[in-house]
This record gives sequence, C-alpha cells and structure tokens, in this order.
Amino acid sequence: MTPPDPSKWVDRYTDYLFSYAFFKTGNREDAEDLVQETFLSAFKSLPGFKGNSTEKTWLTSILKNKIIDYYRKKKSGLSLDEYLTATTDQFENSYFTGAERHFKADIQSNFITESPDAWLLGKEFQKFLEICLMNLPMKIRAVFTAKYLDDEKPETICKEYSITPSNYWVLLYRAKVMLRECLEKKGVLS
Amino acid sequence: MPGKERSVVVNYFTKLMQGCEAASSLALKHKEEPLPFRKLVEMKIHLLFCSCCSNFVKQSEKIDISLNGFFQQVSEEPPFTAGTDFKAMLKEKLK
Repeated sequence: MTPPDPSKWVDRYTDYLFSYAFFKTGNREDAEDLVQETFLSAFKSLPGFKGNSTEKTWLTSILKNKIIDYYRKKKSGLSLDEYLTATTDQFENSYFTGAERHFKADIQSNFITESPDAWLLGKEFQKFLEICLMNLPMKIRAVFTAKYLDDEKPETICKEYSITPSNYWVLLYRAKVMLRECLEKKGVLS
Repeated sequence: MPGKERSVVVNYFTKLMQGCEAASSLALKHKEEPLPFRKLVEMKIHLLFCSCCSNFVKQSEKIDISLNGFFQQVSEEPPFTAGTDFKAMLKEKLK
C-alpha cells in the first residue's frame, strides 16, 4: 500500500472533489468550503487511514459525508418531502395537460431518441447535459446525483436525505422529465 | 358483449389511457424494481397504446446512457475547476 501523501492532494484531487461538491450544492463557495473541510479532516485522521480503499475513494467518502451533514444542517425552508408536495401543481402544469394528465405535445420531439449513443457520449451532447443538470432545482439535483454519480441504492439515498421511498421515485421521475425537456431544447438550438 | 359489460370494459380502458404521469413514472420505476402484477400490466397496456409515454421511456433510456457516461468521465476529467487562490491556500494549510 502506498501511504497517503497530503502534499499531492491539492493537485491530484481538488478539481474532482470540487466538481463533486459543486454538483451537489450548486454553490461555488459552499463547494470550496466542503473540499477544504474534507482535506483538513483527512489530514487529521491520516493515522487512521488503513489503505482499504484508494486515497481518492477515501477523500470522496469523507466529502460525501460532509455534504450529507451540510444538507442536514441547512434545514432552512422546506424539507425535501414538503418541497415535492408544494411543487406538485407547478410540475404537473408545466409538463402535463388536461384533467387526464397527458404529456404535453413536445414529448414527441425526437432529438434524443434519434441520436446515436456515440453522440450522446460525445463532448458536445455531454456539455448540454452538464448545463441541463445544473439547471435542475438544487433540492432535486442532490438526490439525482446521489443515484447517478455515487451509484447508491434507493434505501441508502432515502436515509441520507431523509426522504420517503415514494417521494424518492417522484423526485427521480421529475428530474428525468425536466432533464429530457431541457435536452430537447438544446437539441433544437444545436 | 352486452351493453353494460361493454361499457365497464370501455371505461376501464379509458381510465388506463389517462394519466401519462402515473404510467411513465411506473415505467421508470420498473427499470429498477419489480412492480405489483396489476400495476405492471396496466402500465404495459398504457405504453402499448400511448406513443407519448413509449417515446418518453425510450428517451429516458438514452438519457441514462449519457448520464452514466458523463458521471464516469467526471472522475477522469472534472468539469469544474476550483480557483487558483483557493488551491494555493489549501496547499499552505496542508503543509
């Protein structure tokens, strides 16, 4: 096992950890504070690092826990469950029509479905994706990235973000609907 | 089919075809965990006849491909960069 080398952490991991925190907080200053706290916590607990994971994985897990604490402390405003309930009408009116709740006509756009996978994984489309991800409401993005960036199981995410399982699915669904619409618009612009 | 039974069947199918939100959200959930049999069948029937929802499910699969690629890449090529002053300050603190 190679021992951790804090003198190289900044050059090796800062941008990655900063990107990770920025995705989850949407705030540059908060992301930098969290990265700083992560490095300092890791520095203090160096003797406890057993080398069971890579340095990067270890630092990421410290940052992840700091972000969960950040959300727990930041209890200002509505809880995630309350937010989802409060925004139901707004969401449904934006994307569905009539008492029957049918998709609005723009769902038939086919920029995404007609694009080959290579294009979807290419730099240009990934830039659209990054813009659209950052456009998601913050409360939704934190959970959405926990699924896709951390590849976490629903029960873990529900526990970490204090959200009910049914609202977890509501949240993922809304994120996907919003993302889809945003990406189709980018497609029209391209 | 007698009129009354026919209208029950018609009403059932009419109700099934309403609610794209419910059907498409169940379709996404079903990608990750099993649904109760009745909900599964109703969702499948809805998708069979609703081009909007079946299109949404296809788009969602494509978005997943892109999302997975994107987040794998984040580790190799972080999309955001922390400030140089911030990095210099961190280096000082970690000495």
